[in-house]
Amino acid sequence: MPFSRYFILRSIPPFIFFSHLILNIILGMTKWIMPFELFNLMLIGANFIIALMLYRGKGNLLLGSSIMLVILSHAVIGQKIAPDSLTSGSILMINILILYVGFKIYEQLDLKYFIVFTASYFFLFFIFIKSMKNAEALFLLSLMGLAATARDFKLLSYFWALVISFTLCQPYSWPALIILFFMLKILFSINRKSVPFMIFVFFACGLGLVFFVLLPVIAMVVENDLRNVANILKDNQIRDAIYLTLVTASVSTAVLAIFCVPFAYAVSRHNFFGKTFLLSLIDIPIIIPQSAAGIALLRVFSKQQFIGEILYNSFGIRFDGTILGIILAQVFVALPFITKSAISAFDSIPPSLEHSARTLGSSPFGAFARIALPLASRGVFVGLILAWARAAGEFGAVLFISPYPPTAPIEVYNRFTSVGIVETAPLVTTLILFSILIFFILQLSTKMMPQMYRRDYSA
Amino acid sequence: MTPYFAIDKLENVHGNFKLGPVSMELDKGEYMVVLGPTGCGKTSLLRNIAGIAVSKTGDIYLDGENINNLPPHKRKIGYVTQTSDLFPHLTVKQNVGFGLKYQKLSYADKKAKTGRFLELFGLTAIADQHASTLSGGETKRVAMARSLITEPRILLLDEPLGMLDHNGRKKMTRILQMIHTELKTTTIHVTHDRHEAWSIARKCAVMNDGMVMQTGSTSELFRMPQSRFVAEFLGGTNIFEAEFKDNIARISWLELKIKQNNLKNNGWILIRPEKINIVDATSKSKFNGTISEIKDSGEFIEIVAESVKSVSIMVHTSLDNAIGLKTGDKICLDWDDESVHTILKD
Repeated sequence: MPFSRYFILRSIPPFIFFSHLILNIILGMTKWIMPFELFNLMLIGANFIIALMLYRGKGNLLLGSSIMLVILSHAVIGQKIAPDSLTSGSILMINILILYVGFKIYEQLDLKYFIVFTASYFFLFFIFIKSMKNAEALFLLSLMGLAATARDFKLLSYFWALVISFTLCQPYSWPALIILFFMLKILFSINRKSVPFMIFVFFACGLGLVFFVLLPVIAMVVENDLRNVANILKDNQIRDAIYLTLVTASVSTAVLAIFCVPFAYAVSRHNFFGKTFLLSLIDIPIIIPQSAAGIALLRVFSKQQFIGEILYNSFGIRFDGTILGIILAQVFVALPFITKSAISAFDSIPPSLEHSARTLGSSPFGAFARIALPLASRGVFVGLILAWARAAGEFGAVLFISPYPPTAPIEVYNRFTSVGIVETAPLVTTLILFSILIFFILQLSTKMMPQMYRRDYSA
Repeated sequence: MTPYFAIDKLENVHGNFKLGPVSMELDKGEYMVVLGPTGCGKTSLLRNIAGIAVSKTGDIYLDGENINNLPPHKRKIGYVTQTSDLFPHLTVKQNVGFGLKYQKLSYADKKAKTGRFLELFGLTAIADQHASTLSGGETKRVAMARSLITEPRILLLDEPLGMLDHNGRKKMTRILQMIHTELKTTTIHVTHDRHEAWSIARKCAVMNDGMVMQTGSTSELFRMPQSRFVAEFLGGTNIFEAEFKDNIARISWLELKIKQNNLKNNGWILIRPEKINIVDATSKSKFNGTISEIKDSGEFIEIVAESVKSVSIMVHTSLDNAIGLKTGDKICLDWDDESVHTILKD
């Protein structure tokens, strides 16, 4: 039986060997490689020995043939990528090691481990070819890392976090590494036995996006050292801008709280003609672009316009270019946030609680102040925080109606246009740190509010 | 003399549901149970009395004053809702003392009164717990104490024994009796459970589809229902359609003598299952049939018999009388003409 399956399989190693030989000669003639260089002769010799062993039935046919193919491919293209035969040789040795590890993974573990391992290898190769010129040593090191971590998906993900943060996320490697490790920690804290794989994947998707949103913020904070921040805070102009922002945002929020919280209660408790329409009208400041909002406000409230003129002439109230204008713009853009969260907070409280208070002697205002407001306080407060943050961060509308005196966002813009990105960076870092600090304090105080009321019928 | 509490032709329409016209009277210190199936307008009635829902037609008089146009906080009516609606952000003590905030009492008096009511309702041990952590029975008791501390002119209870286990019901029944006997609060208690009504009240009203069908003492309603609905809702069986003529009622298989004379309309007759006797086949009987079901309910045996014309009749008999009977046996039944109750069609 000269053409049995065994015969065909056994003829593969000699076939690879002879192709190697022929390719060496042909490519040598086209000056692609140097056919008589010692390294190439060594590779031919190695392939000859392996082919001979395999032909005589010694060793694993699959593993041996794969190693021969690796040697062949290195002989053909390896020297074009690596600068010298020494590097080329070490890459070859590592690649054979990786092949061996992959072979063992295929033999001992699941097919999916093998697929992930192979994909990881090619992806690493791709990264280093594309983005890391002359970094063969790093490539070899990461291959060793891959070989060491491939048997466990968790370890492999940490390995990839490391590689990605130090290759693709240059120069923000450290912040990226910290966020990625933190997110992986969150991801692996999910109990995979009780949570479906789908949820796991959904969660991972979301975390991936959060990573890209957080990266610039963290990078901005890490990249500047704190001495710059301290210097920035000594600058009077900046201190004034921050102070102005805090004051105007707080005043706007107070105005919104006084007008919108009772309004939200009324809307939540009563049905009236056009309620749905009114609720969608409230959202308009979110929908329209901020700059458009600024111009629209200017169109009504500037001194030259009808209403603005009346206000200015009879009361001396002026909006364009004053602190009042800043507050006006902030109130405009922050209105939906407080109103919407207050409405949903009041919606979550059953009206029967207020009815009970009424039969116990509370007036309508008493029921609102003693029952509805305390129970809704958490939702209302969250709305106030959102409104405050929105007001403090408002740029577009404020820029049009009242660019001077500058609030903090406008000061950032002014610096950016006058001196450039490098000089503005410390100010930006300061503002980010400041915002995070305030937001953290506010969030913490929300935790102290009474729990949102949940109606429990099981008791 | 005008009664202490009276409802006069109260009407209210809420969506597809129409309440009333309802009229009702109650003396001071009386305890009345309003019975009715789910969705018959019991809660709606209470909401109207409490002033949470406002009716446009009809009047409500309390202590000689028309309160129908007063807002809820000026009516001085206690209302314990089905879900109790404790204020979850307050402790038990604060919940109970809530109503006192609106009364002109010194701080010491308020504190003493709160303490007294906490003790009266057995809540002293849990006085400082938050209202959201309580069990079902405790929640009900807090709600009750919270309403009663304001000394309401009338107390409205919406299913006070609902969602309680057996022990909780017993405890709560005792509390309800205490309210009645010690505090002497005029009370309207709403429920769908007739056993609850029997165990607490002497005065009772049955509601259906937003209307009061019949008012009277519990035994009156039970023995002499005026409509088919009341009879069936209060657990009546053996209701047969009848034609009345002089003092004869003709039902599908026989003619019966009845007490009343000159009944013109057709209607139904009602025979209580415990009034029916099992008799020998030899003697004269009013019903012959076979037993289709025998059920032992502990105190008595319930037998359902079916005649050839597939008329079925239910009998409650003592254990001794039922010895040896089994499904499929022939049975003869008889009853006194005195025990037949007639119901007229409207």
